[in-house]
Amino acid sequence: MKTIRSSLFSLLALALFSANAFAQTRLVSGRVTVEGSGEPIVAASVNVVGTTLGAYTDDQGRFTVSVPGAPATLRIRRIGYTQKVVDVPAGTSELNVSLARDVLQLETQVVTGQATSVSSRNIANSVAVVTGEKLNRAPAQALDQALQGKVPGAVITSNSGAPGGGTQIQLRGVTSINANSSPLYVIDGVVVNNTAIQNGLNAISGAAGGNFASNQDQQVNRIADINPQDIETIEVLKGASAGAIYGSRGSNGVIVITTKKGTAGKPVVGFTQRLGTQSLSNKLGSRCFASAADVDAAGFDSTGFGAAAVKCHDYEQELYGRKDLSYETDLSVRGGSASGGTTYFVAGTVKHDAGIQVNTQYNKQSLRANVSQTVGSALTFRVNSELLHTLTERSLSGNDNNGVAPYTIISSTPSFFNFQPDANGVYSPNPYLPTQTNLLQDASLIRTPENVYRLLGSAAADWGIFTTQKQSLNFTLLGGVDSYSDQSKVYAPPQLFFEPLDDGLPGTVVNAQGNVVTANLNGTLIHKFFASPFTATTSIGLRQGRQNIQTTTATGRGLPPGITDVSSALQTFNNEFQQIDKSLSYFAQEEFLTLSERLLITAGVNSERSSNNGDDRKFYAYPKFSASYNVPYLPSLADNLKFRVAYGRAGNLPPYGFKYTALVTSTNDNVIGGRPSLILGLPNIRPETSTELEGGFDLAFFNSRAQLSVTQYQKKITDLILSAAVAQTTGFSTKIIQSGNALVNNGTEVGLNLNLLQSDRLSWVSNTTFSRNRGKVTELSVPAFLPNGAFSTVYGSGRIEQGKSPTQVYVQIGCNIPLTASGRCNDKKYGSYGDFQPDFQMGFGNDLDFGPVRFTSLLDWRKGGKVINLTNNYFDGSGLGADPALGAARFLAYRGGQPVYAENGTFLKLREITVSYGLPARLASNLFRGQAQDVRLEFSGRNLKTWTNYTGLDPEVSNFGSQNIRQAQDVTPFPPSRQFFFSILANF
Amino acid sequence: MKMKKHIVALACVIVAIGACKDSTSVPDLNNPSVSSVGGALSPGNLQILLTGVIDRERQALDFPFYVFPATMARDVWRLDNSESRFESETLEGRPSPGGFVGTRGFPVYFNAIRAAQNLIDAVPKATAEFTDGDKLAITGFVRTLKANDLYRVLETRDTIGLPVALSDPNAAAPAPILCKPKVLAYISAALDSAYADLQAAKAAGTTTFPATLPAGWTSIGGDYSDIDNEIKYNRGLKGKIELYRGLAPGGTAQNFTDAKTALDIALAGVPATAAGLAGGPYYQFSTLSGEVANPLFDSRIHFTPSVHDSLQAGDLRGSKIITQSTPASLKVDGVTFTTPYDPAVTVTSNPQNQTRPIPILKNEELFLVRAQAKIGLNDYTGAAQDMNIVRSVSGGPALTPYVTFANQQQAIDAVLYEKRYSLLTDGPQRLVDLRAYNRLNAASYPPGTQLAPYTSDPYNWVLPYPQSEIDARGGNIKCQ
Repeated sequence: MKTIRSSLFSLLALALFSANAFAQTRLVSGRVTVEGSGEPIVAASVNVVGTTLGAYTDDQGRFTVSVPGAPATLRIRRIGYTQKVVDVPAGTSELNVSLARDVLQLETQVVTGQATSVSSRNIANSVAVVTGEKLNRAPAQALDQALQGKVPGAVITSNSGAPGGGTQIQLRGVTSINANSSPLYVIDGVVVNNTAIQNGLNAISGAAGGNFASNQDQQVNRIADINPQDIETIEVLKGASAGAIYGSRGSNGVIVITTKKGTAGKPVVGFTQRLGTQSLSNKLGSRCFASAADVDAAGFDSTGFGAAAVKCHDYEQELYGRKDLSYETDLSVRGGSASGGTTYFVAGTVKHDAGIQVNTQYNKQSLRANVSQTVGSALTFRVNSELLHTLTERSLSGNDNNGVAPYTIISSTPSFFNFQPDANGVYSPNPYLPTQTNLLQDASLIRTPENVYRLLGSAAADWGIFTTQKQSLNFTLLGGVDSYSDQSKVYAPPQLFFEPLDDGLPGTVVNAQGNVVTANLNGTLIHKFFASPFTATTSIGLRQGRQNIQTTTATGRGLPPGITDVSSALQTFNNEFQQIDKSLSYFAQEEFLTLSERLLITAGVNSERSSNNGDDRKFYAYPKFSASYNVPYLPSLADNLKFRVAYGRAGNLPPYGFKYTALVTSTNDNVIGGRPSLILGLPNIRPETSTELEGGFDLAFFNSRAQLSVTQYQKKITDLILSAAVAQTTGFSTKIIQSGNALVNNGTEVGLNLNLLQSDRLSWVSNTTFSRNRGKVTELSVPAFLPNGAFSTVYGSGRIEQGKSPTQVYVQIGCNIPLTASGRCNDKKYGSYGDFQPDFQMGFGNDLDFGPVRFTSLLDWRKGGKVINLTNNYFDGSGLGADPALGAARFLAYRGGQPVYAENGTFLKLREITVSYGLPARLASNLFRGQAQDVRLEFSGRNLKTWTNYTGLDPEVSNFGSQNIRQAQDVTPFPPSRQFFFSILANF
Repeated sequence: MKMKKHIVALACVIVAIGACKDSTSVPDLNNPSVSSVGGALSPGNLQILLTGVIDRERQALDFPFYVFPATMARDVWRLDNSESRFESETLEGRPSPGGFVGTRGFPVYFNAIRAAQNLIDAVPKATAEFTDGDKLAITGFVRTLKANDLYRVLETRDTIGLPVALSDPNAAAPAPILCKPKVLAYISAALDSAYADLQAAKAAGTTTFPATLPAGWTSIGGDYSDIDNEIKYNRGLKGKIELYRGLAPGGTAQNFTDAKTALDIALAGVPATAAGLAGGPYYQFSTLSGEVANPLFDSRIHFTPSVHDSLQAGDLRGSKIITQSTPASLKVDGVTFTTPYDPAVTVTSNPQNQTRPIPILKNEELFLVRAQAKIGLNDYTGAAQDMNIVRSVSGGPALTPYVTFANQQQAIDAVLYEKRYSLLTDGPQRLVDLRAYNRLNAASYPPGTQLAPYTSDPYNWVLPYPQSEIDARGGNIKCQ
């Protein structure tokens, strides 16, 4: 501690007392325009190389900059354009520069630390940058879905087709097995919470038994709340080498989101109106019976077959056939004072996504205000805030043990049974289920609203303590908070057929509340030193973080009709969970840019302590080092070649409570008892450590019409925390272990961007990404074990085993003895059978501009990766699948020990397609009385088509929500849908 | 300018130091830690730890504790559209150690055993409020509870055997597995030493247990905070253990004699009335917040038709069977299970079933266990007398009393009938008996019939060890 503090002082001293006085200067002014069209470029930066001197262009593209008396060099850059370096001879005072469009986005700014960034031309890591424009081409329900197919190295999988999101993101393979696996989300410097608050659906589905919530409640990770419309850029730091500065939260990668800012000048109003709909995109189908005798032969009561008006219902269409209107309205105003002293960006969104099932929907209202005010010459205050409300209603799907989930009902009911209500609205009880559940009565009466009220806010002060010609010192203090209240209700009214039958009591209601507050305070001191041979950026700082989570669940069973409050219930059950974690870190980073901005060397360290560690006073250090070099001498066709290498270490905090062995309390006849938990805690637990080495090259060639980027990485996780199964004869079922456990990920990422056509009227840009990752458990201190929570090894589970992939599928793979006469295996053989992780992924994006018409598309190909299709098992068991012969054969093979439910999940999805048309300026002007600048009409679709051999609804599925290692368990999920939108986008 | 620098420096230092001072320590906010009751054993701590042991045993009585053994014993089908393994892994094929059938009735009992062991280990640290007699009462009673927990696991694992010591979670290898006769011998000896403790407690002047027991132990089938009753429970259990030692390989007539001796103590003074037969400790259930409801409250549990059809005319125990107007039906692996018969105590149409107590060891069972011991000693008349107590009180006057039996076979048939209907939903007793008398096979239940509908029926008599236990033992679970 002492050493950290004293080094802080010496850095501070160095920064403060090496200031120089300004030298003699002259003024140079000019204009920056777009190459070809001559349009002005607003807010381009004009810097004098080797000094702190610089300025930004105004809305006419004009600038005036102080330049030293001697000959100087100016560097002019603007995101979206290729930078230019121009010599200004002594005596020159007028300069006009034109910049070419950066079609392949070679020069975006990329974050490298808490408060620093460099041009992607120099970045030493493979950081994926997704612009707001790319993010919002085809409206997605949630931010993480909008990223699908756009980030090489990220496996982004939807957990189900239910509205409102629910997606897991894995960056460069598995980085943890039992601790958190979600990347860290940082929005404008604020750490954002991505927990899922379970709504207590389990109280009616009985998926995990009991009265409270479970991880089978089909909940949404709350990053889904963030409004994609407000986002300027997303930078994805995929591992420790880039994210080391985030310390014990950086190991799963960091997703850095920057929201839109105001710009100097008169206000620009952006308006988008979208109207759309969605439709069921895949069905499983049901068996159709030709005669009552066939029904009897299949083992079902055929009463009612003769009288049935419809002999073969399409239950899925009846339940999921809704095509209601969805809409989204976005309005934003962006502007500022002419001097740029005040800038603001204010935006509001109102969105409604109707689900394909009655009583499913996703609504969002959000209001964002980003305001910046400069006081005097050196002080800038920024306040970014977003207030939002979402209402997610996902109804009932997934695993259940009460015969209430739609596909459980469909797979148990012969298709001549009529679920539709009669003329008086009366439903019939289902004689084929013990709980008599009626598919459509469930859908119309069960309500599952989840309201989230969320405030994301940050206040920051930037203080330019001093600036001289050669150096500058800035202090940034940022305090941010992400606070939300998640209020869920699950209501199954007493008139439901299953309601008295499941628990003897009519009606169930669950109130689940989650209150989450994440707050952080960052202080960063940045010193920049400019000299002609080099630029050195030093940052030091500290970050204090805190997270409070409190969830309470109140379940009521036995309700009077029409009453939805828990206190009226005959029986009530209460549950509370609390979590607090606090952390403190110090960091320092040095970036050294030299050799005419060809060589960038970065070194940094973050040292952090946390209350989740066994020793909460101990600091853990996370160093990083990286270098990139742009090769100066190139063959004729190559424009730029950069080699890069980066090494870094980051951590992953132990989950809250893992250090304790709890005395679990319970009540018996009004007396409280305590017994040891089934989980044996690890008192000296420490963060998991991820050490990553990545290297690669970026090559621009054919006159910057092509860019190839290749990255190879190795990521090793040591001190891997495992909830290891122990011999249950210990009295425990699980023991938390750490020492001697490690896994390694090796992977490759390739990006190829091509500007295939570029002319005045025609432009075609294609982006192709490829990534593959192979994981392996290299060290394991206990015998191989089955991780908690999988259904069964007869269907397909995971298994933690040394020398094997952490995501291997462990399943029955045959029979040790001859099969019985009926084809059943009584001594099944179990073994490794493929992997939950895909073999590789590819994304194909194409942007085609033809005059005013713009066409973009995104294809997402995932090769391999097993999915455990238990839904098939439901249909095979009952014989009511669409193809009963196939189902019977599969079931026979399953009983004989074959891994028939572990299926290949390869797919190719048309994620996005957009066709837009920019109205001619005259027409736009006439239509909007001269107010509108550019007006576009757009048609877009999402997930329009899937090509796959997977026999279930969608290979993107996870019954247990986000999972580290055995993601894809397909258990009667909510089916996928495709979305279509027609939009008008205008700027005024 | 210089002033500014100093302010900056000062601000930075204040923030840095201030942050250091802030404590990052956070306790476990959701549970007390094990160490919080790990100090001296005060009356308060005893109450918490004892309730913990008793409650854990109650929680271990999850519904599959009854449903799986009763299904294997052909009395019950649990028909669940979303879960075919209730039939496919009990009647059609072997239970999978990696699935939910194979793990039942295992970890929670061992957790209860650890809770009991922690309490026994804490007795030397008892505070001065406890007399020597109190301490003996605690060890005597808790050892009896622990013996019962171990026996409960043995009921479903039988010939696989069990370790009798808790495995050490930090040791390289788990405790060795002993074969069934050795496990029974261990439980028997443990009960004897607990018996000695309880007797010594009484001799030292402790007649009442020094902590509050829940209602199931005090106000349903007798007050078991009375040390005399704890002794009776201990001896009842001992009698049951000795009976099955006698029936196990290597069993001798001495086991049956020991069983009879122990049961004579347990049943001394028990009247031949309904209340007398119902005497014994119970698990009580409640629907209040934080409590546990009866785990058998479940509309998917059904009796097989044989339970209804085998009942003798006029047997009052027929009231335990409800005939529904619509039969329950489910097709599993090509076999359709259909039955209109439900246990009266499981149907959800009767809300009182949620709070119905479940007997732990009732006198009705002990009379029949004593009859079994007498059969083992070829005392058929004595066995008939014990059976008749149950038959007349529970079965009713319409049933003809037994006089004696021509041979062991007949006597066993009779006692199996009485036990089946007297203990119809109490636990795995039926499976244990069918297994002990070698009745669970194709000769008794011919393949292709209603009770053995699968031709692949393996006549499962045990549940496997959970996969994690097998893994922790490197795949070797052979008993010694």
